[in-house]
Amino acid sequence: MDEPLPPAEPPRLPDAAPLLPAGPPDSPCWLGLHPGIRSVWRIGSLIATPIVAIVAATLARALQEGFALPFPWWLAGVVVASLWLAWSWWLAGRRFAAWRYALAPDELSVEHGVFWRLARTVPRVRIQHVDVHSGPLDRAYGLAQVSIYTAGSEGAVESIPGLAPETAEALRDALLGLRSRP
Amino acid sequence: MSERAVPPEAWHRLHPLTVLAELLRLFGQFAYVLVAIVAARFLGGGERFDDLYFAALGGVGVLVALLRYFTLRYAVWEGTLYLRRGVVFRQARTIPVDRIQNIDLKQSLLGRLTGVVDVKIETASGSGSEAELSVLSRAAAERLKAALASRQAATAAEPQAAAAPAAPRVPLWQATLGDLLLLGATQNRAGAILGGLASLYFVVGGYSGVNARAGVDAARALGGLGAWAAAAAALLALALLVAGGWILSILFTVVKYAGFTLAEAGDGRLLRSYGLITRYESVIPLRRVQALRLVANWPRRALGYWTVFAETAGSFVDKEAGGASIVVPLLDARERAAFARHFFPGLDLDAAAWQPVSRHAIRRGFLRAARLILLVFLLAGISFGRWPWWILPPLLVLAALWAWLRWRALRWARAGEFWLASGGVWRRTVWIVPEAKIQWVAVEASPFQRRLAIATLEVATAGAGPARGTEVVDLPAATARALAAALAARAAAAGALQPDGV
Repeated sequence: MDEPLPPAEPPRLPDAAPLLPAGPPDSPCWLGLHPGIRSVWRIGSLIATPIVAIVAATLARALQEGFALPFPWWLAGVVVASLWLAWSWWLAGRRFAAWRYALAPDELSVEHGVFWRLARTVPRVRIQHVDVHSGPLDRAYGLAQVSIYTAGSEGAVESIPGLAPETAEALRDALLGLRSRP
Repeated sequence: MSERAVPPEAWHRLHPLTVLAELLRLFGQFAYVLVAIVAARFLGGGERFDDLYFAALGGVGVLVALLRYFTLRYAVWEGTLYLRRGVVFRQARTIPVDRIQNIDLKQSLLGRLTGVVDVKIETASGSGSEAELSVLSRAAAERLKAALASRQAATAAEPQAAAAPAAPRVPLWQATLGDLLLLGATQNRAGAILGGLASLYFVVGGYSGVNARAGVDAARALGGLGAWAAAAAALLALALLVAGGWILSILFTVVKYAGFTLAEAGDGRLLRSYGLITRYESVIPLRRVQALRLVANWPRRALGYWTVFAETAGSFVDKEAGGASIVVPLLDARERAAFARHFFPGLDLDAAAWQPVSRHAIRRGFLRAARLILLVFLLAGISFGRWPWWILPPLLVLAALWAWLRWRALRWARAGEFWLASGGVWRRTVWIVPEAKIQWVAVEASPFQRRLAIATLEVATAGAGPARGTEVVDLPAATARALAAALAARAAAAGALQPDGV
């Protein structure tokens, strides 16, 4: 740290080409997520389904005290839970379709959100550190998640879910490559 | 550079009073528990607590405080701040001095009597201060400040700054008593005090059966006054309460910000100090300022005054506790542009070409307010039965007016190398963000916004919490996307020249 650093060289950018899995067809530089992420999301909502059913049934049971419901209380749980499951099943597909990211020479761009759309651009020089992590469900499907942090951010600025581990690692190296010094 | 290279004589300990300060802090957190225990003992009504608990609690506290004093060491060596502490879990922290964002000194009344200060050192990480040295003797704190400052100046971009041995201080702003009185008088705290009084009234009224009608009855019975006179007396009492709260709020402000001084040291650092009882002193390197925020509520704006905040990277929580990132509590509106130039020499605030957002913002603002009003009316109408429905049309007119004012306040501009944004009807905020300090940009659109082809542009700096950056809502979507691309490109280009990314 105490010796003067060599003058900053023009950064050599790692080639983004090996990262390319099949991206959406409309633009060559936008990349999509691994299709396996849909299953991860769907299994996640499947796990939450009993909780939804119990909450709905309990509410219906409580309502039954005051009002005469035209159906048994447990039916409310079954109906609400299946509606929720169908909804999240559909949403997982839409979320997957909406998710895309692009690695430009200077910046990382991501776009996601089905109803509330978000497009974020993080200049690569601003990235302070990058995490690659994967939960048990992710691992079961051979997926990993990349989280990106900038200065001053309390949590991750952006997390890209559903990447193949080698894609995740290549993305991390590409994002950090700019900042490494000889 | 390793910690082992630091010669033993460079390591320093905290001031011995650390033990006392630590005890006070530990027990300060449990003060209300202790008070409750003692009160319970004296009243004899509560359960009896064994003295053993007290002794054990005290003993643990003393042990913790002693350990802190005996295990914490710090050193400044070769441009790095080293911190060592812990017995079981040893921690060694290394902070390169040129990464330090700001240095805060806090001296409580007790500290001023005993000549010790709390020192907090912040880097750009999001949570908490990175080094808290509490407490140091005044002299040690000054030595540390000087050691950090000289190193910072040496590593700063301007090489001639390092040559200047002792930079002269140029005062930028100094609080007069008139400033402080005006500041207190226009503080929103009056509202908070009023709310407190109102809730106190309800709580007390609920317990003792006192209410407004009883008060009026009492007044009537007392003086044999008519109902109108009694009502007037009640109003007078209320006015007195409000005035009392207001005067109290002015007093608080005067005590908190007494002697506020902002000075520029010649080496590119700002020195700020204020406080009558607890004294705060901070060093803010100018090149670390991520954004300026000019804020004025309606009364202040009408009188022509603005409050200026300088955002540095780091934790928002600590900054708020340390008296916010305020640099000028009350700046004359005519001096805004000149003052901003001290921070950003290239900026001409008065020449900025402000652009409005989409007119759809009026409609969206009105709908949002109208929805809230209708919901409240519907709920209240259902639960009360009798409800003054005739207020609804004038309220809706007010909502429309508010929506229009909100649209008028929402503006943005690009002035040279600066991104400007403003907003807020009652509390107006004007942001000045050097485009070189932008961390990321985002364009967001809700389903309602997408139907109208408008979007929200978010521009983030390294400031934390609500001070993170600007949000311009309801821009035309194409404008938002174009601005996002341009700002991100500018940030990327500038970032290549900033090795630490801040």
